[in-house]
Amino acid sequence: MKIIIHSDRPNKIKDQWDQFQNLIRSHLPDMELEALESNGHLYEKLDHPLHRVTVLISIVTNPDEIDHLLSLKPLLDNIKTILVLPPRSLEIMESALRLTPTFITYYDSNAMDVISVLHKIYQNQKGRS
Amino acid sequence: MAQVLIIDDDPAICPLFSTLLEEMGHKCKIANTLKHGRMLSMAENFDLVLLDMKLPDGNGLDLMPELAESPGRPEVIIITGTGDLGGAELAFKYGAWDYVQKPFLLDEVTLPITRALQYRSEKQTNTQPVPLNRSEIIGESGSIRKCLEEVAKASSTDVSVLITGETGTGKEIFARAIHDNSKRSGHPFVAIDCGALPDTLVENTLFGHEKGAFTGAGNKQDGLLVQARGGTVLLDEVGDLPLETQKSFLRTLQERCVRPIGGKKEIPVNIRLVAATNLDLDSMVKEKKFREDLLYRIRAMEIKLPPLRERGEDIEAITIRKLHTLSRQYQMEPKAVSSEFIQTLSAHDWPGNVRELINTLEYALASAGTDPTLFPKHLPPKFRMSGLKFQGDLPGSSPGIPDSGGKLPLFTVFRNQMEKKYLKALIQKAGGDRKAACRISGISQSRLYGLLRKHGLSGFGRS
Repeated sequence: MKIIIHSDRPNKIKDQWDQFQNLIRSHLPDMELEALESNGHLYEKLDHPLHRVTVLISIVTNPDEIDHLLSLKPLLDNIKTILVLPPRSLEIMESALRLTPTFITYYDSNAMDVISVLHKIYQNQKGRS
Repeated sequence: MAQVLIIDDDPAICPLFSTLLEEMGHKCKIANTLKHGRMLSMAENFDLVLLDMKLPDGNGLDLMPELAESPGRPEVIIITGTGDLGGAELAFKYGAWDYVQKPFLLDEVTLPITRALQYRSEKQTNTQPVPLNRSEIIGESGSIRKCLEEVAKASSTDVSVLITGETGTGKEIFARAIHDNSKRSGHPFVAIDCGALPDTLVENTLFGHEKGAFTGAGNKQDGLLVQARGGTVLLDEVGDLPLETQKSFLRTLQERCVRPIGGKKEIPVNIRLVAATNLDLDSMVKEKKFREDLLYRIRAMEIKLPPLRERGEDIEAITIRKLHTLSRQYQMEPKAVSSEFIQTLSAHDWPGNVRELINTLEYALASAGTDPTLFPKHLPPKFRMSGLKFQGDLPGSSPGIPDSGGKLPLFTVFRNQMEKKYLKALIQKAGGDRKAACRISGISQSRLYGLLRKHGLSGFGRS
């Protein structure tokens, strides 16, 4: 299972950025994990068929980033999307729902929730193959 | 005055019906065999068909799918033998309006005939084509058109809808179409993938929590049911909801409010529910894995999506449209599509349905590179192997009944597969000559074309 973790401004959310990568590497060591540190890199990764990305974890810092993800929505059709949002931002939340993500969590939520969801996605995928 | 077709071989029943219908002011035609009935139904627009189940050349129910796709798309009243309730049940499954059991009194048939024709007349009078926003739903097959009619009906109401179908048949797309065509289209469409959420997170996602409700709940958070605010909620993989959550969710549907985890106050919710599943919820109810009362609530209306193998005639349209979309999406030059490419796709069973088809098209695009036209060689190797396997299974080489692990396939699936194999052999044998194909097979040209469309096959003069 190939996982992309993305943020356009990882330096603004360094704690979450490092935490999620460390958790994924320690709890899901068999997963292929790639970190993309800009919207441009994310677009390049997804902009061709057969990219094989199963899950995108996007740590959002502002409404523009959600708008950018919305512009990539056709490319995200076959990808499970997990959004990590700043808490209590109604504007970002309303836009986030339009992405119909698989899971939404927040900076101040338990990061292990994301690991649980990744485990479940992986189990489902194994069950289907 | 309605046009009625009577398909029955009983020499006493036919004149009886004929006289009755004429007295009711309608015109009728009679066919004594399935073959003749089929011919008449394809050639003329009938409003109603009275169809006997037991005919000398087959079961009348076999004609039902064709009647649904015939020019007139008539209502059907089935005539069954005494005590044949199994036949009646099958008749309703196939969409029959009603059934009458022999022997019957004239009064017992007059009312169903009157009601069927009244319904048809009202439908035709009230039918003002309302443009339906089809979103990404592609296809003109009878089964998809029927589903779109159901979408239109669902969109005009607020009832809960359960969408069922195999993985990859487009349940989310249909849910979105219901939302986009409803009065809630200006409000959020919230999709919740119950299958991807661990049991521990489902309730929190749906209902939200109060600050301090559990370790890690640093702030109050509204659940998605509240955040949907006047919109539509799609509960995807609803069969995966844990039983405890089913109980809480049922209460939400009944009371139209949620209580967040750790909360004392209830929050009103205003949502329209669409649920989706590829599981057999009725069986799960029997196994006590799904609540019957919840199933009743979420299934006020049901839309059953057909698997792709049962709407083969849509494969070409889906392929062309999706290739166009994918080329634009990946900023590639649009590609032409060879007829062999389409035929190879049409020969596949598509267990993963439309999603599998789209993934395959992505592979083909990547594989083709700068080649301007797509050919079978651009497809994954297994597709080309299926083509080879088919040639070894031509009729006359005793293909036998496929038996996977001691289990017989569904009869309709088996029949469709055999039908398709026969047609492919026929195309080859006739060498592209449709008159020869009709002569060899003994079927009419219109019937032949209907079958070719059904199975997404070409082979007579198309490049």
